[in-house]
Amino acid sequence: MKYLMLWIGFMLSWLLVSQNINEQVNTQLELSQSNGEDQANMEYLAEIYTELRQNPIKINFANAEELAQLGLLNIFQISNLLQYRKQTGAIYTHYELAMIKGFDRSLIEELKPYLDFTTERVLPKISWRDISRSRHEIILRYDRGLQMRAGYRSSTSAGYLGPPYASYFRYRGKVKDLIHFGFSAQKDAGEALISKNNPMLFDHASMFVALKGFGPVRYWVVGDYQVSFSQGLSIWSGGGMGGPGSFAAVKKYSRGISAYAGAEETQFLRGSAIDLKLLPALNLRCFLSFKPIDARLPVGSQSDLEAFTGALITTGLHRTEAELRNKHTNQLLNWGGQVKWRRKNLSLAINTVHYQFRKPIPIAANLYALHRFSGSKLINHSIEANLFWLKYNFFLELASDHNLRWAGIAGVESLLADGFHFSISLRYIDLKYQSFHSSLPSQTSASGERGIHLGLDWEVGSKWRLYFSSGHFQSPWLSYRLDAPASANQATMKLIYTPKRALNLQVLLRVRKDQHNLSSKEAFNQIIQRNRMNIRADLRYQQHSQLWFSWRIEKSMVESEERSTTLLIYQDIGFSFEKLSLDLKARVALIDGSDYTARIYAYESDLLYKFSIPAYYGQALRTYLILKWQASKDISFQSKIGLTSFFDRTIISSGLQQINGRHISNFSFQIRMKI
Amino acid sequence: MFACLMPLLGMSQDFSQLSGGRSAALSHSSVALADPWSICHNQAAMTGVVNTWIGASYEKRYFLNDINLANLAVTQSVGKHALGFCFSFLGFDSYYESKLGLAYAHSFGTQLSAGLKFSYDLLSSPETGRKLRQFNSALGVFIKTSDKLHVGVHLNNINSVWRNPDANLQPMAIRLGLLYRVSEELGITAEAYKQLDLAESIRGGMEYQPGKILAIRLGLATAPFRQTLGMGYCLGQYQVDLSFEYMHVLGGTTNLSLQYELP
Repeated sequence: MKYLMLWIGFMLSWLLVSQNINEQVNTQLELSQSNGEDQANMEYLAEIYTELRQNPIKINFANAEELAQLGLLNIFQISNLLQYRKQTGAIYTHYELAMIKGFDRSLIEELKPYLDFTTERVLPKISWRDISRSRHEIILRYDRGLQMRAGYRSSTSAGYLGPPYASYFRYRGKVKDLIHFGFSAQKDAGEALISKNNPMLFDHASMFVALKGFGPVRYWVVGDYQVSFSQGLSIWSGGGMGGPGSFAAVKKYSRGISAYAGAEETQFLRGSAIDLKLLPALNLRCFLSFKPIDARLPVGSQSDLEAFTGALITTGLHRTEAELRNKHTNQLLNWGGQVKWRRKNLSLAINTVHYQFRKPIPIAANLYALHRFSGSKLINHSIEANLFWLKYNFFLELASDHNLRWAGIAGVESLLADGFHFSISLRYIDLKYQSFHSSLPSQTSASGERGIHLGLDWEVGSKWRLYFSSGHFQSPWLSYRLDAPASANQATMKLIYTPKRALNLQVLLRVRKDQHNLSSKEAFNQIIQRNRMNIRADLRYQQHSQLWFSWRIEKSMVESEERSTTLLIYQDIGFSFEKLSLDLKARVALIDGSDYTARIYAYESDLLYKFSIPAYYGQALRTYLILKWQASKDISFQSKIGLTSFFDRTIISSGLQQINGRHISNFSFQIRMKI
Repeated sequence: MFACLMPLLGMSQDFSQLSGGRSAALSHSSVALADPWSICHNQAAMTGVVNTWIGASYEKRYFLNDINLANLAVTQSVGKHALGFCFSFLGFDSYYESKLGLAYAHSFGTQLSAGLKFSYDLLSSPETGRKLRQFNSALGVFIKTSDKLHVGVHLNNINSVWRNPDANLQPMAIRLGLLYRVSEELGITAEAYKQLDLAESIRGGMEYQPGKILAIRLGLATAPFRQTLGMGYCLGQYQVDLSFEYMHVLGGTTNLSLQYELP
């Protein structure tokens, strides 16, 4: 019956105009996933763009730093926008953005969901009337896999303790865009609703209250929040790319302090943070955080009695007794700040961050992790400089830890000609440089890295755009599955053709060369070269506001000890029934891959404020259907059902996640209410 | 020798798509073409065919008469609806494959069509000593983004999702392609064809029609690599298409098809 329901939706082939995080961000997320970056990074980015959708940037009042938070504009585009606003006054619609140099059609479409064109300045005063007019949003979500995994069938203590569904609750409110508050709570599939370690109905909860724009207090948050300073060598909690959405950008644009109440359970701070404007040119940011963290306990020990813990755990999963034992076994006290001075085209900043773990973290047992952080105390300082001169933006960050090991990034972004944006950066990270909540750029996943990164963003006429990025990176130390100093070379090129607003063609080519251990049971592995190549073509067509199509062909090839390939072909369609207030979207994808090595990551539309970039591998057919019904102005219902049918296996996944069968399907349902 | 030729004989792929002289001349990059043979390539494109057409095609393949391919197609389009019937036969007395198909397509507005096709496949093989029968289904989508650009997608053998993979006569296959009209006279086709268990095939073709009567066609395809050439004649209600394909290893294949529009 469930298959019949799936295929009814499939055969309808209606359409949906879907919300997407962002095309450029999608590409970078897909590329990051294929580089092995973790899920936490992706969830943090989704949270950023979710918040931006709910609280769009007021384009007529935002300064350069606020516009940079969009992550979609480089310094030249921001400078041109500010210049245009100064000359012409307010910007009333997104159509006007086309008058600004550097803003082409595709960029404007991507910016639209995150911009507010109001011309009314919000005064820093709150009355009872403002409180009565406050806006609130509640989201309730239910997710469930339809096949039974091994962990739920296990009757021993090794199995999952909780039911096989995931639930999520999210609340956001704001008063006149001056006071924001939020609360989120969630339970992952397999986590118990109530247990001795978890008396609440949810495994993870997060909340904040934030004030904006009250005199010298630019921003003040109490609760959960994120901090990102400079280029991330000292602190950049939550991961994330930071740069303008194009992967061709080499510079990160930090968000400073921002409230957080999302689904990601580990990479945030908890306490209070404040951003003060001391003088017109001088800013002070301070933060204080104290929160429990998960860390591995030795087998047989108890949390309260242990004097130290093992490696930190960032999955946020507490489904089994073993995972629950490691929950909140350590605590982290974290404080620091930034002083930033800005004058005309020059800005200078000093950052300091202190970490104090209640229980020390021992030196890692694995040789490749030898130089990672260990101990109970860590201090990071850094200085940052930014100079905007003519058509060049020079940036630099130098950081050191308490052992005086240092790391640095320096580079320049330049507008060599109209529409020709070129950037280059050099990085050096000492082998023994230690940091914790930072975002050290790493292409080799090894400790200590030095490298060079080039980026090009070229508007070739009004219909063509070329992105290019390349880098060479080296590390003097071992890394996971590589028993030798690492090096990697990588290049990515993307060509976009937009002959008219409704039609968009993109071709992407990516190559990467690195090394890894030959699969062998011997102690010293032979190192072999690994070459990876991805080639992709995307065609998008928007017939009108109600009808939307997308097609993709992508091939991934990996050559190391064996040759692995995966081919993906898919079609997306979406349609909007205006009279019924019903939106539909569907995908059909055929995958033919030799093994998991050459898997392809492809963005999938999902429920509002949820995202997924799953791996496509094996020989399989992947289909999904999303339905959205706007029942009234303030209430909407959404549902997604997806099915993957494999042709080359009868067992999917392994261990507690194992499914006996060829099919894996998932059902999600969400209610959204606005008050 | 016979076993070596198996992938090329059509035993492990949908041989009904190898129908029609026009498609053959374009190296079968025809998923976005709307013509009387759309029932075999992408049934959704049947809505682009006006009136009722009957088509017959015969293909002489390489050096063996025993693997020649015969196709018959009937397409009727009325308003937003289109119905089609097709029959394909390949083989000889001891070994043969046949496919009987029935399709329906519906047009949603002027730019989008979708179609379903149900087929009954039969395989008679001396190795098994019996006949293997299967029902299959296929889904097609056809989009006219503009007068210049048409896009087609076709997913074949959807039933294989629920069937034991070893029991499938043919694995699932997908075709994604487009037709771009450079001008009134010149059109370019491109297609990616992927069947599970076979290497993907990239196909392309060019069709030049200096007038309404004559058409000249060229094509190229990979996996296996082959070159094609063909001509078409339109004589009132009759159309005749002739094509020639050359593959380096096995040699040449000719295809002749005749289409007739019922008054």
